Amino acid sequence: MIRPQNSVIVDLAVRIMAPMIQIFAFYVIFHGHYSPGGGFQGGALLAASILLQRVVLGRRRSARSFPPRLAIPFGAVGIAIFAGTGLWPLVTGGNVLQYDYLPLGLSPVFLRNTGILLVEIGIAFAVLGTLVSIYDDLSNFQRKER
Amino acid sequence: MNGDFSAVFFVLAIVAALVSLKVRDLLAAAALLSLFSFVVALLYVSLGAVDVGFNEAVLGAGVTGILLVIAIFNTCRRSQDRQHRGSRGSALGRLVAMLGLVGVGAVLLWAMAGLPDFGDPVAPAARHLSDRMIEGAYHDAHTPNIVTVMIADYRSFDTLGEGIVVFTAGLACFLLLRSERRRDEDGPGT
Repeated sequence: MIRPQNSVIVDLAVRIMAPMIQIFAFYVIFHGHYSPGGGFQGGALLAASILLQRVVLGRRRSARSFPPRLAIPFGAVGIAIFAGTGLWPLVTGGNVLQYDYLPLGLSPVFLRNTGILLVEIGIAFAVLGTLVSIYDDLSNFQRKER
Repeated sequence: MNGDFSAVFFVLAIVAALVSLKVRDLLAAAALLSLFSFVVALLYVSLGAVDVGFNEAVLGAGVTGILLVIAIFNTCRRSQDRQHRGSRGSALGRLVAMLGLVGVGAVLLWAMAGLPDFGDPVAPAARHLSDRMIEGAYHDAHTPNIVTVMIADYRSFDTLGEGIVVFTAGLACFLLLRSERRRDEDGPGT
């Protein structure tokens, strides 16, 4: 089993680095229209910052920044955002994922722009929830004694 | 510039992969696999696929490394390949396997010679949709990053499928590992 680190240096470095990684992750998600990156990369960065805290600060202290029971709901909400953005245009007469039919009152070009952003946020949620959940399951898993 | 560096990256990646197969300490093997992923990410970037390189650097070199380390902590740190050496089959079997591998490799290399060059503008893959997507991306969605438009707009149905696959993998881990844990907590009798 992995125990929390006792080193002050590692502890402090992680506590400084994790918020910075998270800010960069949000930048990557929301700036994905203009620079490399997007929902998948940003979500993975967010998950990496959470995993860093899990590894170094230990389970109990890192649960304050991201409770383990939230992981699977985050993933489900992400998929729901993505699928909802896809299915919404069906109601207003478009095809699946045809963003110009989203009823937001913008010009079609900016509707597509917004649709891309919504989808990226959904992917980010899904990737964040899934990766953290896999880590929690693996690290919680207790080996059978043979 | 691309030519020189990508050759170095290829050599580094192959060396890292081979050494990670040979090394006995699985923690070292996990670190070498992270190195492999990072070199592959650099390779993607040197080929111009910055988004893919970004992904590979975060997921392949970062998160996968952590997951491998966790798996090692829960199982066993030393590789136990040596104990199974006797059951690997006869010398004839090994010779046949080696010849088969060399044959498949030769066929793949031969087939590779027929592929178009990297960045060939008249390659079949670049002829039909690529032009329309490259020219229409900014016009359609006012998004300068063509890759984003590609994965979230033109090919968003694929991306939805990928998201569902990723989430399903997480759910599978959840169901397999958590139910296992509960059975353990019930005691050894069950």
